[in-house]
Amino acid sequence: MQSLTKIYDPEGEHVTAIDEIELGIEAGEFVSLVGPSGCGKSTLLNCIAGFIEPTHGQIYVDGNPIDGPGADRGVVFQENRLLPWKTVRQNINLGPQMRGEIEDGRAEELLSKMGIEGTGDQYPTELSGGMQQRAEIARLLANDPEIMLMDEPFSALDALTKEIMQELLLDIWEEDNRTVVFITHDVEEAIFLADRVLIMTAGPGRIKEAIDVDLERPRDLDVTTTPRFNELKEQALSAIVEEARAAMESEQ
Amino acid sequence: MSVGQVRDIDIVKLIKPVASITGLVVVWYALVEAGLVGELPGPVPVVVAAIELVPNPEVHASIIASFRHIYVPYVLAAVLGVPLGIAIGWNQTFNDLVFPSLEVLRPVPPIAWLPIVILVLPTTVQGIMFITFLGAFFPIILNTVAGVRSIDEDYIRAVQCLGGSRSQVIREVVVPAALPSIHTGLIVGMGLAWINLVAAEMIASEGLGRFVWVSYTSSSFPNILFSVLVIGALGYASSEVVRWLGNQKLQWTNRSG
Repeated sequence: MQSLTKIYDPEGEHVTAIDEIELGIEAGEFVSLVGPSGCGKSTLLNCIAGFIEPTHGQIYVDGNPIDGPGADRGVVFQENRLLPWKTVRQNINLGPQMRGEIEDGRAEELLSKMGIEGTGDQYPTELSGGMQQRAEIARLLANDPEIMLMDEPFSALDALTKEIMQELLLDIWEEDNRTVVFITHDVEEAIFLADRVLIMTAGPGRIKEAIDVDLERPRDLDVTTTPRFNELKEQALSAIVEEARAAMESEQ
Repeated sequence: MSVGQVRDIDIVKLIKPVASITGLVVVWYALVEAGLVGELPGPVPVVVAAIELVPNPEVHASIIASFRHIYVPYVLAAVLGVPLGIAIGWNQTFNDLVFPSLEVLRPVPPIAWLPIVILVLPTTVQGIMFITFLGAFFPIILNTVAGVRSIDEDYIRAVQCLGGSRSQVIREVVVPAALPSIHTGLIVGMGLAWINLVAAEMIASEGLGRFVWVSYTSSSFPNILFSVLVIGALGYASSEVVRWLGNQKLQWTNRSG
């Protein structure tokens, strides 16, 4: 990612959502983006997904510049975007179907991997929020993307479901080592999941600090009670608090 | 759930619509008896007229003719209106080129079209069909446009990042997401086709609209009311058929967990 800038220009007033971000993400790396709301996390993600074009700069995946959305970069939305007029199975098969290569039994396999076997014939609105997020991740996995872009995917879930989903996500990630960019405002979630936590500054969005998470893998939630986890959390929180204070002062 | 309970629920569901129609008849009767509506015949003379007219082959022929005047243009309006509405809702340039012209034509009342269609179209039947076509066409197109515009962009993005091309996005997202609105447009369009029919059939040689007109010129007021009620009932029934057909296709909108 090279000197990426996105300027929104509503009513002639320049609003720089993200400013000259330089960032490299390794293949197979799990990166969390944390920052105050409005810091441009989602803008950055939408640029990587190819939904919006950066005003300046360019994003490269494997050396190729991004030109619009593509099947190599799958997105999990904050509130799931399963198509409500398709059954869960039809949703999961959608990506392969559009390429004309549906594999029999693949949907069932993914449903049981995500722990929601037997829901294939139901419509998404018949499932609970946690099950919908599982189904959406299953839809993404069916498409086998190299990069998973996740925009606060668990923020609407209750605490218990959220923890289950975090562990499930790590299991999946450890299995095939896809690259993950995970947006959250939950510092604990960011550290627990990621190899590297990037803390963003607000208005204009820049990367303020990168924290390498040297916790051993595979991880389970017990790791969140270790001293090292707490150290990392302190480090991240102090950076964020500093940032939040600066943001408040600049508003005054 | 036992069969008996299902029937009870059906009866309870029917009470209100029956009460609604009965109330209409009672109000009508009371207004006529009170002498508030001039020479308008009451329910009794209309029922007497109906007993005479229901077996009348001329009436049957009128109903069949009106159905023909409705259904051919209605199907055409749906076949043209839905794709056009999707194109207008999806493509801003196409919208800017086409939509203003449609909006100028839309408020023209059906009666104002009569002299134009008489001048332009070779047969009166074509003229009638053109006017019922317009009745269905505009609500279908407007509802389709509104349906396409109200689609949450994230659904489109979700399919794009699964590798969907432009045409796949239209097929997998735009059309199904707009279907409930298109369905509404088809129901409203059917109703307006019937409304326009009565105006259009003033120039017809057959049909219910002509029957109303002939009854008027021959001052048989119970016959006018009878045919007006038949038009109302057939229009309502036709819209309900469209509603029912659509609901069969749109079962996902009724489910929630």
